[in-house]
Amino acid sequence: MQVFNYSENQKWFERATRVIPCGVYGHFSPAPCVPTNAYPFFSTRADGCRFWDVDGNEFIDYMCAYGPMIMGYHNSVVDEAFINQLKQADANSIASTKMVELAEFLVDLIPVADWAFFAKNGADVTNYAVMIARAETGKKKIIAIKGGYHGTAPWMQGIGHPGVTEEDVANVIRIPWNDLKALEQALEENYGQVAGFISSPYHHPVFVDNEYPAEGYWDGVQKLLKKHGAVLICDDVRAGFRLHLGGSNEYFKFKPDLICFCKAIANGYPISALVGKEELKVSASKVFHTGSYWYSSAYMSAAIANLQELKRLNAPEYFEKLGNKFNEGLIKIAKDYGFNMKITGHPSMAYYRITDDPSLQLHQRWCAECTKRGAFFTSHHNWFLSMAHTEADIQKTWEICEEAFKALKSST
Amino acid sequence: MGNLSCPLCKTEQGNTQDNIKSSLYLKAVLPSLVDLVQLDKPAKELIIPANEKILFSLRNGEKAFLKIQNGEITYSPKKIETPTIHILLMSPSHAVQVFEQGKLPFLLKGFTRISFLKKKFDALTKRLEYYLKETQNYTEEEKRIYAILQLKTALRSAEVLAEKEEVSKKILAGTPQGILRIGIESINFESYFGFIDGKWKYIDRLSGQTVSSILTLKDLKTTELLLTNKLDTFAGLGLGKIYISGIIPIIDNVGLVLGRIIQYIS
Repeated sequence: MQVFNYSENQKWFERATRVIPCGVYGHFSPAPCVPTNAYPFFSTRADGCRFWDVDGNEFIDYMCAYGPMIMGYHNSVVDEAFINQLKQADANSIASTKMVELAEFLVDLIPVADWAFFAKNGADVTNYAVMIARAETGKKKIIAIKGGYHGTAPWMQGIGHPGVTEEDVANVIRIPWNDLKALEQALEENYGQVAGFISSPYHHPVFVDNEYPAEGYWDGVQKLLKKHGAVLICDDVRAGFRLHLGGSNEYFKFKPDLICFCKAIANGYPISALVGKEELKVSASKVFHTGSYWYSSAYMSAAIANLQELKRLNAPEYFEKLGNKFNEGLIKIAKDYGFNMKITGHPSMAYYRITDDPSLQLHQRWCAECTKRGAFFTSHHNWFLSMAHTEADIQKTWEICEEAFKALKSST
Repeated sequence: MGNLSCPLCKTEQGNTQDNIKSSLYLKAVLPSLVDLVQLDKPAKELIIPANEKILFSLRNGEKAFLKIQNGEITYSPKKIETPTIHILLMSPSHAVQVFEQGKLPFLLKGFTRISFLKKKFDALTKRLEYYLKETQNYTEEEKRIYAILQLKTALRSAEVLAEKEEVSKKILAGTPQGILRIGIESINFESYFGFIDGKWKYIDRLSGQTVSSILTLKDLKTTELLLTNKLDTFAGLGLGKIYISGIIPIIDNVGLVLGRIIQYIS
């Protein structure tokens, strides 16, 4: 099996460092790609569940643009909806009726939604949700989960990070996941001050195993928040439409007041949404929140087409079936080579970890060996499946995984 | 006494700032004299004939004990023998003035050793400044010494901040427990910082512990750029000048603490 060369990637990276901080910044930066020389940094094209880098290397993509690519790159139905609307109008001086159509579609699709609001990125709507919670309750503090990610706004970053002041994070209380006592304690200690609780539907941090809610956890959360008059915000930016088309809360059987969606909503076209209960609509109307491109209608058309396709194809069921099959095979292959592969989280976006080395170095080396052979895996983050991944792709990926285990075995 | 401080030191900003600064001088900068005489021949020559035991003591506070003997220095954070010279620092603020501005300390013992303090020890601390201040036109060997001294002083400083500074405490409270190895590949140098016995500490040598994270700097140039805050570390990773592996959040968060040292000394 061919092991990839990244000479053109390196040339482009050198060019990038001269004009761009970090070369490539944010979650696409080289920092979590260990070792960096096993990873590509620049692509030339993508199609289905594959992308090609500037060296011409072909990858089966298990990061799916870190979640947005849910139908597959270049999905003809979604792309056609986008292009057709683009021809009519996109950025404009007044809103498009597509905005109303998309809001109606989401209100029908998502049981807790009585209204919808659109922006571009996940952080746009997590910020908006927090502002609505504060406007509704007249309180300042927000409770969040340790290790939970809700964007890069200063209030959501950790203390000590460059550009973040102590004041920025002063009103955010971090508690452990699945810990109702900690939530109760935080609410009691900050009695009358907590505006809301923001959390993903299940815990999917980076670098550590993902965790589902414990039995009765979300029931307990809802009761405590109701008692204290705090708003429940579900950050479904990463998991949204993968576990359940009505929102991941339906999968885990709880009813948030606000739900934030982004990544998978439009198959890579930039749009995010906040949906909420009727009771919060007036507060939502009072919070001024807007952006230059938040009314672009082509992306709204893409979102409608994408969600219709996910519904038509019953995407969550497909992900569950394909993901479980992939995982079972992968666990067996690892075992055949003497390794223990632990898989946590939902099959459509599971987190993988070779447990034989707690420092993660073994897992990092294995992910690197897979990537160098054409299965694009990162070692720190959950992976993603798309509707374009097929059983044939899974088979090909298993072969790559096996070669990587062989390489690992021969070097240890 | 020579000025042990570095040029970017900030002016006094209250007791907390001075408490941390004085600790940094006593627990991070003074121990670097041990490394200095091991690494730097001119520094070693300054103390070859000396046989002194110097106690720096902050009134009602921390201590630093330096034993100078046979061309070597050993350091202890407490008085381990009867000193030949005892330097009293009246307060953290006074300590900072002594170390940064050359203000005279109170000499409680060692009046007959003033010439050693004024000549040899002063020259020794000036030699340390040569490496800990802004970079000079170093020789190749001096570049190596500069990198090692700077890194070790930084890691010792991180231990002080981990114990004393509120922001650093909060950063490390949310950090996975483990041991970070920091190395410079071209000179085969390694040092450690990690969580041992319930505390984040500088570790000179491992004694059976397992490394959980690795940060390797390719060469002295990369090290110098990093130490002088002129390196885009993300770019450095992509360009192969820096290599990381293991539990990356430890590297990230220790990096945040190291980045805070400049607020006190640099």
